[in-house]
Amino acid sequence: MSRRGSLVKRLDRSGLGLLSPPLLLLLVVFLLPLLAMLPTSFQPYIPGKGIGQGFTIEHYVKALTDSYYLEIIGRTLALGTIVTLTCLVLGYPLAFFLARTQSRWRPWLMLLVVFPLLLNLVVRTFGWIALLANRGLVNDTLIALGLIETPIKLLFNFSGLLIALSHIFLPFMVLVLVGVIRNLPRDVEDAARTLGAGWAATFFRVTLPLSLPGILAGSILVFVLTVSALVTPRLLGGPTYKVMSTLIYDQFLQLLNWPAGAALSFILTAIAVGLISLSSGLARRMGAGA
Amino acid sequence: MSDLRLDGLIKRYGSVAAVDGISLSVAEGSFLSLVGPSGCGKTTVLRMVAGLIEPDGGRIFVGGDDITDIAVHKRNLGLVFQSYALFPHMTVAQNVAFGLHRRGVARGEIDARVKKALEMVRLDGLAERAPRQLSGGQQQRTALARALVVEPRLLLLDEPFSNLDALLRDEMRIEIKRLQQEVGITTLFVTHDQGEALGMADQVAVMNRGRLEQVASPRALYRAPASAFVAHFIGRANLLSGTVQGRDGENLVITLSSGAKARARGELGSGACRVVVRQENVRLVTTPTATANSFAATVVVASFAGATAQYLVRLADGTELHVQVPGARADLAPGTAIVAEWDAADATVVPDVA
Repeated sequence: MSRRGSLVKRLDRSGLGLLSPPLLLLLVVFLLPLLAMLPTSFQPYIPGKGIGQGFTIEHYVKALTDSYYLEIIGRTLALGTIVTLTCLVLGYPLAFFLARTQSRWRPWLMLLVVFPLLLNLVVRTFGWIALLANRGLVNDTLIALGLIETPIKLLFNFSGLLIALSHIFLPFMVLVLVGVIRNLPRDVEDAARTLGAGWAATFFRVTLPLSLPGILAGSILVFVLTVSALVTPRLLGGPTYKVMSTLIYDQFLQLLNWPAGAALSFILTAIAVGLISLSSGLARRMGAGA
Repeated sequence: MSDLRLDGLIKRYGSVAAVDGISLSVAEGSFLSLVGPSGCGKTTVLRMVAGLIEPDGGRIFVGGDDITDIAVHKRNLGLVFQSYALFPHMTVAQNVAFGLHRRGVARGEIDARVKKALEMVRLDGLAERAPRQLSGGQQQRTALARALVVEPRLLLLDEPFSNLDALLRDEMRIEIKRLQQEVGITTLFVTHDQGEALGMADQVAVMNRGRLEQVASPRALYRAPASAFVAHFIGRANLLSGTVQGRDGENLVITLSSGAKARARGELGSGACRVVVRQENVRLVTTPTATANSFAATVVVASFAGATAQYLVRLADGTELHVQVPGARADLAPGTAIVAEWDAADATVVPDVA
């Protein structure tokens, strides 16, 4: 009885008691199935028959040595990085404007940013197909203007994915950045200006460094969403231009190679988790300064 | 080091004039407090001087130069914010060095000047700390060092004490005054606290609803307030309404609203007025003095506070007076019938503007 009592007290103090229902739910519906995949990823695959008995690390070895897999992993990471940078470069000025504008249209402008999220992902992706196809709006317009003679290939390759994914994930970056920039203390910027810093110096020495935590948070979000996106790469990449998520999908559902699919999933997860912990460590270091 | 002169400064927000024609000058090396209730426009004035708010009218001169159209970062003024506004991502030393870097001062000289500035505010040991590791008082000293290290033409202080606890506030008040005298820098100090305003300044400017009510030395302001607002805002004086009847030698003769006659100092010719009587100038006696303004009164509330005691007394017509007497002589119980009186020389007449 007394031990139970002290346990309850301990839980109370840590706040774990309060957290435990959602924590338990996450554990059951998310972590357990994930962990259930772990043994599968170490089982052999027998073509035509399915999962065999025994223990093997061949799926991991293959994924990390085979040039076909390596290219896809590399392409996925490159896509994640470039989409993140694109969203950052496009999103920061927009977020800065939205955070600072005194316009009474501000709520409507915010809605405009969020608006794409209200459309179904598949619809948005098909929209991009209509725009980017060889006989799509973009190419037709460029040809009509005489800027190009033959259509630029924008579908089933890197540029198509880059354009569509940047569009789809931009709102996330903007929303995170608006929150952070709105909370920057204006006095601090004013102080910089009174001390002799012009517009550029104030921005680069004060505003930008202080919004780094938001830049980091938004970037992690967009990166993780990009490398794990399935629908858009599936539709815009076609059957041949693959990224990790479509590769995993194919392994599971086309080839029924669950072990390889599971192994690739864990590699993707490891990359994401590694990146998040790296950058949250970085954020804490910057937080120590901030 | 330069003097500051404001000439008809105006700032409107929509149809409201937050600052409605302020003209003011601060002599070179002197300390002026701009005091008023919150929302009176005092901070707007300071921010216009700093260049953070653009005035809708009027000019600002520093050392004779018109700086009204000069950008903030080229004004070379030192501003200490209410929030201190230290750069959270920099150390104390980097904070102080910021303005010097922006001015392109050589690295070696920066180090020397930062060191000297930190010594001046007695923070020499804390140069490598982050602002959030400092106490409120230390943050304020950092902000002060950061503002002064660039040798600005003016020092602007925006409610610098309101985030400090009472003890620290007194300490910092003396500290800032000492620094200001040492450096000899022209200072504009904005506060809502009349005690701070009087205690620190050579001159006090009282603001109300975007306008200046009075500019005077602390003593003159206290002794001879120009308006009922100033009398009440500075020192919470008793204000008795009445009408000026005429002049009797040095004094004005006033009929109070109770019908009783009273004498007081003042320049007013005629009409509705308020008689200003400071709490400490009211005497509570048993027999009235012939030459004084004497009224029968009853003690309503007695409150002993150590060095002083506060009384609330009620005159025959219902008028209530606050009275402050030395604590050692306070022995009146509520209900005691008494005579409240004050000398004509201690009372001032101001116009009654409702």
